[in-house]
Amino acid sequence: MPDVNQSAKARVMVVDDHPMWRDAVARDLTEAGYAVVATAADGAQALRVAGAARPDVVVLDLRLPDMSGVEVTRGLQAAHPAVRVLVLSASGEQQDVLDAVKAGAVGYLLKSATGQELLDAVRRTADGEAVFTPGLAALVLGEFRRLSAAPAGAGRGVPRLSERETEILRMVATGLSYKQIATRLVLSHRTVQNHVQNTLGKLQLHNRVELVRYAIEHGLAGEFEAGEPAGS
Amino acid sequence: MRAALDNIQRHCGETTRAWVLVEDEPELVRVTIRDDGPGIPDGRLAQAAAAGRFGISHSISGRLRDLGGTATVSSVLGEGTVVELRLPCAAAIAVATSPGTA
Repeated sequence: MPDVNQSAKARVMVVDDHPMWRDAVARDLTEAGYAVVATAADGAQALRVAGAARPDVVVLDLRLPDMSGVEVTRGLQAAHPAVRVLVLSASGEQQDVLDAVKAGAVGYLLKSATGQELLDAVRRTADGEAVFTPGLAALVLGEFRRLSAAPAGAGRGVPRLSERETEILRMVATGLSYKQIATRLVLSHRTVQNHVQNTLGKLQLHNRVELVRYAIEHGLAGEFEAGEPAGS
Repeated sequence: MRAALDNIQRHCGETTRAWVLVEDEPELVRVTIRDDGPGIPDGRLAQAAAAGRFGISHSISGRLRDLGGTATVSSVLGEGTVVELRLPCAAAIAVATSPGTA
C-alpha cells in the first residue's frame, strides 16, 4: 500500500521514551521504506542527535521525561528550520498540542492511531502537508478567536483568518476530509491543503514575533539565538 | 443539541460518526453538529411535519427561535447532515445561568 514516491525515502527520527513503542514505530516506518536515521528516548538526546542525523521528519511524543514536546519542537525548529515535526499525543493534551503547533509542529496524531494512520501521517508530513484532525482544527479556530478578542492596542500584528480559511477550518473541525471540502467548495485538493497550512503558518509566525517581543522586553534577547535550545 | 444528537442516534446506522463544534463568538454562540450518515432526502422534513411529527421543526428550530436564535439543517444524500444552531450571546448567557433548562 505505501506508494513509492520521494516521501517514502524521507529521513525520519523517532522520539519516545517507551522503548517498545519507539522500536515498533521505527520498524513499521523502515518496512514502509523510510530511512529511520535516529531514535531518541528524551528531548535532550533528540536535540543533540538531530544535527548529525539530519531527519526530514521527526515523530515526536509530547510527553518526555526531561522536557516537554513543545520545548523540543521549539528547539528543533530553531536549530533546523526545515525539519517537519509530527506530534503524537495521548488524548486530553489539547493545549499542549496547540502549543506544539505554535512552536512549529506541522502535524498531530493521537497515540491511539493505527499503524496505517501513522504511516499515512508521516507520508503527508514528509510531503509538506499539514496533518490536521478535527480536534486540532477546532483548537486553531478557537486560538484565532481568542487572539482577535484580545484588548485593542495588543491588536497590532494579530493574525486573522480569512473567510475562506475560517470556512475550511470549520469543515475540517466537523469531520469533512480535504477531498470532500474540495468538492463542496469547487477547489482543488491542493488549494484546500494550502489554506489549512496557511492558518498554521500565521499562528507560528505570530508566536515567533511574540517570543522575540517578550525576549526584548525582558532583556533576554541573547538567550534566544538560533541553535541554542533553552536549558542545554 | 441533545435533540440533534438524539436524531442521529435514532436515524443513522451504528457506524455513523458525529462531530460537535462549539464556537464562542463575540456576539453569538454557534454549535454545529455534523454526521456522516445517510442524509435526509429532499422534502422529508416537510413530509414529517405534515404527518404531525415535529422533531426538527419543534424541538430544535422552535426552541432556538424562542430564544432569539436560529437553526438550519442542511443535508446531502449519502454525505450526512449538518445542523447549525446560532444563539445570540445574551440569550446564551440566560440559558447557561437559568436553572432547569434542558
